[in-house]
Amino acid sequence: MSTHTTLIPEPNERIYELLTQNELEKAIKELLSYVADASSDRLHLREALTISQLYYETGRPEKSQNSPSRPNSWPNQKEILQRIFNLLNTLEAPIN
Amino acid sequence: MEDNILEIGQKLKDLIWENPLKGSEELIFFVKRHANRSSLRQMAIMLKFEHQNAQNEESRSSIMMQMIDLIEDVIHLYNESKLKEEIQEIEAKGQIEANYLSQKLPSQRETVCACDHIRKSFKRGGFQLQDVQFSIDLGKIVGVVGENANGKTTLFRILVGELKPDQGNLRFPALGQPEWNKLNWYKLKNQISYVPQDLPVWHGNLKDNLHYEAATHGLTGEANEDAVDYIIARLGLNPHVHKKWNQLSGGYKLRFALAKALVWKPKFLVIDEPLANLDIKSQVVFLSDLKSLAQSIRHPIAVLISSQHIHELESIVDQVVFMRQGQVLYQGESAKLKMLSQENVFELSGDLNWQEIQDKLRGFEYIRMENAGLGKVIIRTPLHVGRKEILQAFLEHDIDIHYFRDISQSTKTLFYENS
Repeated sequence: MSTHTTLIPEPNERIYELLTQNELEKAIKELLSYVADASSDRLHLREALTISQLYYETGRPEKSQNSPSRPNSWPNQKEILQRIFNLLNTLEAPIN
Repeated sequence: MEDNILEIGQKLKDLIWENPLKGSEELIFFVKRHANRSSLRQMAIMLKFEHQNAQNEESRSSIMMQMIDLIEDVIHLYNESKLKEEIQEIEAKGQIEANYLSQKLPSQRETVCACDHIRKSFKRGGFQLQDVQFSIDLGKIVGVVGENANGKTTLFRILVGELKPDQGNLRFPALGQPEWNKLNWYKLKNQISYVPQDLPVWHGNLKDNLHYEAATHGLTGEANEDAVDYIIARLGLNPHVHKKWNQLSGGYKLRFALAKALVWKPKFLVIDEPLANLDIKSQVVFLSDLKSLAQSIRHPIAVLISSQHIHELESIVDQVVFMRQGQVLYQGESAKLKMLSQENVFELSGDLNWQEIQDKLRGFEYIRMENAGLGKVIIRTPLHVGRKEILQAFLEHDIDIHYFRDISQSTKTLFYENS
């Protein structure tokens, strides 16, 4: 059996690190890569895509004063975080 | 460590009261180190976000109390021998996961493209691509650097089947064409994606174009929908999906071109000078996305990329190919250049008077100093004279610089070699 484990990154670890650094957008991108690699279940991919869509529609903080006003994005970000954690837990579950 | 955890926990509690922002970050590391349990790490991350977004002092205090409780929980769990066993178990499962994945994965060591003694000459202009040899593996990124008009685009066009070489051999083992020059370009082109420097204009909106591109490569129905939605989200194009060509900035046109190139999951991506029109922030995002996508476990891609932005490129590539006058002068890891070299090379600039800097550094041990123009100076020193020594010399001799870089491990040194 091939065990070239050095080639296996730890994408969930990268996601946690990015979240620790407040990099929600990058964490979502990594989540998408992780799901595409780790799961062949279409529902997992669709959930990651929904999270990404939610982020761009409601969870992204305002970048400048010129951008359209967005209500406090924290409640939406909180929901996004919870969904990220749920998806990570689901992906880890079959192995655990 | 068991004896220490109480002490560390106490220090962390103090930090949370003194500097909640830093404390909340340290809390995440503390949880990871002492109780590597997903639910606890997730709780620590959530508390950090909650604290940052708390609207008033009362909420902030309440969140800080929850952080303190979490520290207590971690200490309690850590001290239970059961948890230690769990950690060992999780580590063992991590190994199982790694093994399980490696069984399913394609080998990333497989060579996607190899070329051998490739030559191409053009009657007009007299340019010749001479004797090019190199190879690229799945999951790897190779950067091609060199001054303008040194054969990079010609080489790329040969590798994607747009130009026929005059001499030499090509093969694409990972694309099902392992024998030299026995190539079925129709099949190959369905696995190779080429993004030229001048991006073609497209019509309609971004999303429809991606659906069309995926469909032309055989992706239909749900597979088409998933592939398009995935690449849009992965490249952060969501806010632009309904935009047309003339509504996108140069940076987003390039990101769209990348999405179009990758939506059908090619195994070999060739991308010519993508950084030319990107600002620094966009370059970083673009390159980090490219690296992440290339290293996908399930769908690794070999990426061949050219750019004049050497330092940015070197930050993501596995190997660099340096070309001059149609020849490959170097292929390998840029860090290995230093091992081949007998000198250190420093690049600096400032309000420097060429004569003055030479006078001031008289007595300093260097091999050669070159005036690269526009206030830029290249200094070559023996290997035992490093960054520290040269910066010390600048301080001692009051030489004012505003840019300094050790380029000893960069292919940039090759640009300064005599041509």
